[in-house]
Amino acid sequence: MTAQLPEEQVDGAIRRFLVWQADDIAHAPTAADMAARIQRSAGVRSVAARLAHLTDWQDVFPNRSIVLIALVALTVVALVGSMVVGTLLNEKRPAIVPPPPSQVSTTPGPSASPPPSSTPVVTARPSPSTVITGTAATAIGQLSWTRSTGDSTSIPAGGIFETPDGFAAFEGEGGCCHYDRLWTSADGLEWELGPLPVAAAGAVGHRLAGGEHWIWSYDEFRVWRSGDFATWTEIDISALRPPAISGVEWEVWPDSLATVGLTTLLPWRYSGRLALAQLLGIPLEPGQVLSLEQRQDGEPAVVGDVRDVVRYRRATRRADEGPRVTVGSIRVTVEGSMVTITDLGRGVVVATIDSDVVGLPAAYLADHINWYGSFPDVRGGAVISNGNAGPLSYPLAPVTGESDRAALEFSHLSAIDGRFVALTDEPPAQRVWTTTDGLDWESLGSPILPQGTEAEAYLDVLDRPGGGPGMPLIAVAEINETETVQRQELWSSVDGVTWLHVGEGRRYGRHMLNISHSPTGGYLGIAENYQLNVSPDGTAWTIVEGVSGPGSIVDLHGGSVGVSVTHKAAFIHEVPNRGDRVIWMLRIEPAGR
Amino acid sequence: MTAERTADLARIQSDAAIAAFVADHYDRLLRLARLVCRDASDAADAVQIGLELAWRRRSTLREDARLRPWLDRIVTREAVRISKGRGSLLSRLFTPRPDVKWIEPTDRHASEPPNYVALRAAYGHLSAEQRAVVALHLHFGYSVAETATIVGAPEETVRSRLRSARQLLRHELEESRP
Repeated sequence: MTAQLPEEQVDGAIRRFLVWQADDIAHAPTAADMAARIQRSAGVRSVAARLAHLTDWQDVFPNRSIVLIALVALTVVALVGSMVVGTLLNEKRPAIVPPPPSQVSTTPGPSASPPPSSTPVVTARPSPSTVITGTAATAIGQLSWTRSTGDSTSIPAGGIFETPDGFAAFEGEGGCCHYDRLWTSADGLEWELGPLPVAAAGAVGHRLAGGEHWIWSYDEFRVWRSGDFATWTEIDISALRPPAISGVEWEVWPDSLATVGLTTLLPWRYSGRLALAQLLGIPLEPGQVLSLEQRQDGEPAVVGDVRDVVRYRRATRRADEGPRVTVGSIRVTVEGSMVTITDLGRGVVVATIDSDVVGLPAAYLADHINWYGSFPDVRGGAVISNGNAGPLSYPLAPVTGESDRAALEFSHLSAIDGRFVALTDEPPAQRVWTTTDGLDWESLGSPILPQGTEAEAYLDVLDRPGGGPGMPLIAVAEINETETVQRQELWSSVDGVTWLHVGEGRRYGRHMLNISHSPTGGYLGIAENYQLNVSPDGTAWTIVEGVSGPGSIVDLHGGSVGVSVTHKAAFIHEVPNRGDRVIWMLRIEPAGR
Repeated sequence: MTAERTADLARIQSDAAIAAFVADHYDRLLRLARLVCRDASDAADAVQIGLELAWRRRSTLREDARLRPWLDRIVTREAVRISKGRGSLLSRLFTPRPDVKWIEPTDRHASEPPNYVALRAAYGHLSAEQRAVVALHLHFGYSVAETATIVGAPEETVRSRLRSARQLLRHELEESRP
């Protein structure tokens, strides 16, 4: 067993390697060559112009009449040939009859389902702007869909869940999981935007576990819970917050959240970042942030270097985040356990951070601050029982050094079979841990994978509708098939330890961007071309024609496509960075009902 | 001025603008793509496609200064797409195994630091998506939130990819120690 390397050595080695690897471009075209390629491609539009660009036809055929005769002759030959071939094909082509939904092909490749059985009905409504409805027979039942198009004032961005009054969704400018407003809807079609249901300063996150809603705030870490989404109770976690350090802002984010009975586990990580605006006295407009700029020569920054501070506008839901304007510079130094930040513009020390208080080695802390302007992640967590919060006990032995932190990372936490099950990453395999109270953890060893599966598989456990107590875990396994190819499989587990292939364990016919449970059983998948696929068994997938698809509004400018599943309905949301949003509400009537 | 001369002048101006556009961004984008792709040739292809797309769509950008993350996003996604496309049967037949390449006695690899051999092998075993987040976050200095925006994945997914990539690289570093 090789002893673990300290984090700072690992980080340093990786950064140096990345610089070296990025420089391995000796055989790539020069910038001039690349510009010439793009000029040829982008600057010439018509076919004739492209041909003229490639070859000077006047040199080849000085007599234009010869060219004309040759072109006419070639055209006649092509027409006659295509007629003959077309006749032959028509004679031999078998009739194509779309299979009924119950006769889904068991081959793993996708096949087209019958087209929507009724003509879509278009209705003009004030909000959302347009609504189109339709139905389709699918392999998992009769699908009724409603497609609503609207803007950011009428359509939520995703993450829809059910409440006693209908549906709700959070949204925020901070992208995933950082919310500052709440959508509500009685029917999933008409949405109303309102403020957060708790008095939080800054963005919040939300999760549903054990039938309860949980909300936490990131900046001043607070936690609330609610059983009915109307009355919220704050949990006192003041004793678990990170230490107050002048010039440092903390951000805390939960890794996951799970509830068994009256006990909820909430593991989180927190990271300090330099309050650069405050330290350097730089004014910021709403949406603007400060960060340390990478060195222009591509070399890794070393502690003691001059580090430029740039100001720009961050809008993580949009593609454009500039301009980046240099507004100051700092220097990070380390002596003993103290890390010092100096404002080079004024020549004064603006922050002194005691690494012992943070609980990290000084050199590691200084290197990280110098590179990112922030601390490495520190782990925390709470076990909340009967409304009281205490520190979460982690599964391995007490942390004895910085190098142990990596092994303690939860990559997943679930409630299953009346206990908590956690996965940790411990190369070369993951390890499964279990506890009933969050304090005493037992190692169950490495996951037992389906027969014939390589150990190098990473599991993405699907969210279960409503938190899903009583349901088995379903995970999408990403398996490295070769050095360059990953394949996906669906696995199932009732204890978090032993995993079995779902269905016959065949690989998918195509790579899915997003897989989720269907509200009434089976699975929904969004393929790489954004088309909706359905599967009753996780192996045979069929495309649902007319729902989402390559005409998606998600384009190169970014945006996202996602799926939300509740017990009542599923939603596909397409959210571009600009332009209208689209939301598909899917209600599925199980086959045979 | 004749119509021909006007067209020529427009073309020259356009060519100059393309050359300047490429010169401004090429080195950075090539290094970014190189960290995602398995070789410089694929990286150049990704950059070419990305720059062509960007050039055609440049008018949709309201501020030139916002170009950088936008370009990084296009090239990263193109590099991931090309890397994953290399997995087809034909391309596997005709593409030498990447771990064969680095035992060639080329000048660059002859001077390669010893632990880079293991790191390069481990880095090559990362998925294209993992290499993309490692490159953007650890090399180019994008925050996790910014990286998530560029690769089009939730922040939690980016953190997960970073974590698993670091674990693998750490493991190889430790195993390769004398």
